[in-house]
Amino acid sequence: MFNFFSELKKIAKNEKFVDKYNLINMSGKILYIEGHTGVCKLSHTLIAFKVKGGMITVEGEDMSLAELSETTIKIVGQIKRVEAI
Amino acid sequence: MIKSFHHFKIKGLNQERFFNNISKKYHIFDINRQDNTLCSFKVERRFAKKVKTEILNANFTIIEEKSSGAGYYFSRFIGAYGVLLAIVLCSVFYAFQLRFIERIEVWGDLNTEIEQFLEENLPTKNKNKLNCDEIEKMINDEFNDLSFVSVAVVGQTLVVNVKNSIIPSEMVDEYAPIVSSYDGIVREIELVQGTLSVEIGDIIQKGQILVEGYVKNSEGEILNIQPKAEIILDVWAEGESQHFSKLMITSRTGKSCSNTSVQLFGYEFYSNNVQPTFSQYEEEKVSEYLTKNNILPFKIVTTKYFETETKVVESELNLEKQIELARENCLQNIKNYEIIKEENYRVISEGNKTTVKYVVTASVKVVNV
Repeated sequence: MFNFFSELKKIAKNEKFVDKYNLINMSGKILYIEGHTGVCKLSHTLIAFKVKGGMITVEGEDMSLAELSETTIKIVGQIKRVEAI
Repeated sequence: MIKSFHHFKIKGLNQERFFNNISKKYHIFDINRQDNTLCSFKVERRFAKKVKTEILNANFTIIEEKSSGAGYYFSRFIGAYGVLLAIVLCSVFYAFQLRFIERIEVWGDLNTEIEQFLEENLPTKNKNKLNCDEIEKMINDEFNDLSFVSVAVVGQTLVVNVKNSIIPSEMVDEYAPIVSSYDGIVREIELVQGTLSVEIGDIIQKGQILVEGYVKNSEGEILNIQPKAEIILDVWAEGESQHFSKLMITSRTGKSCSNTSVQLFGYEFYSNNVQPTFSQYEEEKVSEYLTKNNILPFKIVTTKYFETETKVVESELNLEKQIELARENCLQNIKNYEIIKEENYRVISEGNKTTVKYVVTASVKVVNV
């Protein structure tokens, strides 16, 4: 089966960082993250979570965690800014 | 909507840490943080108890909790109306099975044989379609020794009441009359003791009394006595043999196939759908109960199909042999004959069929001295 992330990783096979996490933003309404290591901050306007080698902050409005599992997060709401620190 | 969820609304500090911990074990949905201390989320209903324990262990206060989803509403429905539903279903099933005969009970003689006969030959178990008169006739035809048969449907039981033929005691004891075993004409009588019921020249039937086991004295009193007499009867018997110049003989070729089906009250539930591909065949049907319980009398019916072939066999007529065969058949009908008085035969030809009819008149001695 075709996997978007796998195909991208094949293209960038020499880069080591591609194995750390995957993040996809769908029209600023849904943000899907694979490979998180824990939620740091949770509010309607700011959600922050740790990934391997850093942290990602998501800023927006009316945001909530639609799904949370050990390695994946699905954020829904008005996503305005995603920043990797 | 099909999945069932359990909603929690909790209050407490450091919720991020709590979510990080439980997300390692369970999938969490719709986390909605209302303020720094208040938060709501949902988990799959099957994990609700475990998650609740985790919440309480983490010193959070549960403000509100509720379940939703089709599975939840279904389990609630079963919890609330399950017993009622079971009663309704049982009542429907009970009403349905009331239409059928559950067991057969035979009162009287030959009960095992009659029960087995009915199990195999009962046309239907549906009480409405069952004809008691027909069953009585079936039993009467099958068992000759019965003098009385009564069939009735009582509840779900087919009650069969039978009585054996009763022979009067005076017909079997030492004063039993002398009875003719043949149809014929009385030719000679030598009475020793008893009362004669026939005269010379009388035409008698099989089973007719020849000498009664009593005498009347001069005062008209009846005294029982063992009848003794020597009576000679002229009896006649018929026998025949047939010959076909062209005969069609059907025999099995050895090829066969079988169809198996499972039935309940005559309705087919399963069949392996094997149909014979032979152009000409015979079938044998065997039916037996799958279980011995009376609640669901499932029957397994095996129908075996045997391929057959028909051949035309031609044979020459040997008239002498056919006459001899007819004579043998005729003499088998007269036992213990004294003299053969007269014998004759007729040959009848119809198309490819030849029939020899043989008639013998013989003297038979009925002795009881």
